[in-house]
Amino acid sequence: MTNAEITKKELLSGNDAIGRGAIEAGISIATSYPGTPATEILQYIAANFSGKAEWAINEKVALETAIGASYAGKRVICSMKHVGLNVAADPLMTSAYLGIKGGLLLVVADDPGAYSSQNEQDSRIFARFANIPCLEPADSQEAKDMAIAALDLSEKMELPVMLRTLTRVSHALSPVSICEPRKENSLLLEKNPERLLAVPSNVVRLHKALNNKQLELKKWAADSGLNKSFKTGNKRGIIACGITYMYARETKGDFDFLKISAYPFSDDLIKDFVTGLEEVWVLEEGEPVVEEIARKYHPAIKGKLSGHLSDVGELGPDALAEALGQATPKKTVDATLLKRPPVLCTGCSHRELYKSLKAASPSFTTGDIGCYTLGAMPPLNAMDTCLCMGASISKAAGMSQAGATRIAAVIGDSTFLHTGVPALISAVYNRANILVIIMDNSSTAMTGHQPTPLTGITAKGAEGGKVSLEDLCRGCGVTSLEVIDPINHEQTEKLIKEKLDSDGVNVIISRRPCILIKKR
Amino acid sequence: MDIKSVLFSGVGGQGIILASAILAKCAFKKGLMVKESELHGMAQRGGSVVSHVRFGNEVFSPLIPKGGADFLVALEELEGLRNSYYLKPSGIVILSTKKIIPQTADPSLNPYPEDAEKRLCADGFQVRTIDSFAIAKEIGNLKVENVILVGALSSYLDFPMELWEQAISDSVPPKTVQINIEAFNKGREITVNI
Repeated sequence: MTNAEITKKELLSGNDAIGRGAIEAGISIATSYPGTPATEILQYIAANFSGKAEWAINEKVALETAIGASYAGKRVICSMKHVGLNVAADPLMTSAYLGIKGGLLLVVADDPGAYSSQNEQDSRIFARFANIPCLEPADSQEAKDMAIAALDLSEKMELPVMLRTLTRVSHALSPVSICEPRKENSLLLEKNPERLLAVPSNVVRLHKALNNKQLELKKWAADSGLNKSFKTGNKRGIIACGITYMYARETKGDFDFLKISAYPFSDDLIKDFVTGLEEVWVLEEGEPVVEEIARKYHPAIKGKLSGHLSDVGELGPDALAEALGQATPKKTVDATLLKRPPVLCTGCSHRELYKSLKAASPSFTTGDIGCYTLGAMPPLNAMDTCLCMGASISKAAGMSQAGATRIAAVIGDSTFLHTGVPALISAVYNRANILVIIMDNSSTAMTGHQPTPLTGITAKGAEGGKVSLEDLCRGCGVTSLEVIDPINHEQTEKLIKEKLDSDGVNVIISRRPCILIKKR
Repeated sequence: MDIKSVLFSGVGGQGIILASAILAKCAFKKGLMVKESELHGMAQRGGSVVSHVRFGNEVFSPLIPKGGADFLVALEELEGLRNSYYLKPSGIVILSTKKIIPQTADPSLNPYPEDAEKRLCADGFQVRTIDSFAIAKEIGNLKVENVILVGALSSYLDFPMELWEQAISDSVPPKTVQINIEAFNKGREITVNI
């Protein structure tokens, strides 16, 4: 299907372009949970699309909501950061077996270099694990075009399709052609128990059906033109995935190029390209996914596995030039200069809470993911561990069960709703002895102040249902619940001390809105 | 035209992203290929921030290679020093004389460098210092330091004033368009005779 004519060109970020592509492809619904570098995808759709755009409570719920909408025949986009896909892995893996109906675009934003993340995982491996196709754009125009292509492919193959973006695509501006949106799909909710029930009697058959689709997916990749070979008779070649193609094109010297944007592909693509070349470089942000394949077909593949390129961190535009010995700058960053790490804002309510927490000196403080993680840094040093969303409460409970006492868990309001609630219930049920401090700043601040169910405001700025944090905690059966304003240091410190020495799961809600919201 | 690369550097909250967006939009309006790259989220909270802008007939990478920047626009002295390795030999630095001491700094261990301009000159760069804070104060809005520096940069680039004005209008809140254009012009005046 082709879209209507180009109406204009705009300078868009990769994230805005993905949102634009989804709108042009005729989505009816968009779901997401905020997470850098993916957040702006849903924000663009919420601001530029008359249909539904939702912040879900976490990525699992976002993907399941998207799957439901797809079963109802509608096209849908679900976006998240790479680690969000770990939370959504359960619905993802089996939705590939069951298949989908309306096109389902799963956008996952990776963060090589971990600029704003707790790890550097490569989502292409998740796509391979789930046996779903993955497209990888290199700039904003490709991001928009591939969002549309992915939705078409998804509907054709009845599979979720992943679009793997990363920080340098999501947060980079480049020109994009804007077209008229297509019409949305009509509602079509049909029962199909043999396909939509993941029960033992169906599963192995559905697994076979999924495996059978793989050949067709490789054929689609070959026919799509998204994997392009530029053979001009050079002795050296570069296989470049996604954004790294842009870096490769600015490398000095004569190279043949193979640009990879669509997975899975037939090995013939690699075999044909490397044949006749003396030296082949493989550039890919993340894990050596393509390099592993290329090594089967050429004895002199240079990349991360061969040790020619770093297997951690971001490759960026300089890695290949440096490996080729071309790097021009005589200088690098002056390591003796005073560093300027990110810090809690002036007037941040988290700092006030941390001062009291430090004074009460818990034996160990488990932390979580958000602005407040910055409290781990000097001079506060108020957090001893941070793992993943929601883990503060469960880790504290584990320490308690191991025999430790005076353990505090600190977690933000949005993170608590994301995955903290099941951990709190589990701690209550198993009689852990912990203090849980929910740092309620009335916002998902780190990612740019998205509203939460506690504010009752939706992603589109409309009035939504409102959840009470106090009622939620009480409903979980906590031993005690207190609400304090962290600016009252004396009261806060006294309460924290008292609760650290008390049995049961004691919760303190430390409530003060984010200073940045107040300033608006 | 060949690729021109401009690196903006400063401290989170100084308006680096806005400054780079104005330049990117201006080059885009001129009909050039433009790429701009920035960071959001954790990387931004009061820490060191950079933004890359590249434009020309054909641009591939959104990031400037090390030693590849024609211009470094530094909204803060320490951040100017920190990112000078991005510059080409004899590249141009538009340097605000603003100093922001890092909150976590222990000055007894590692003092704030007082000689940023001198060090940059010693490295062979062409340095143009601008007291953007004083100018912003004179204009009556302390938030426009970023746009003053964009104005100072503009004298080195071949874009007509009307495109700059459009780019500013497209980037700032409607109420502040006039004051931002005034800030831009103040910055431009300083470098216009170069």
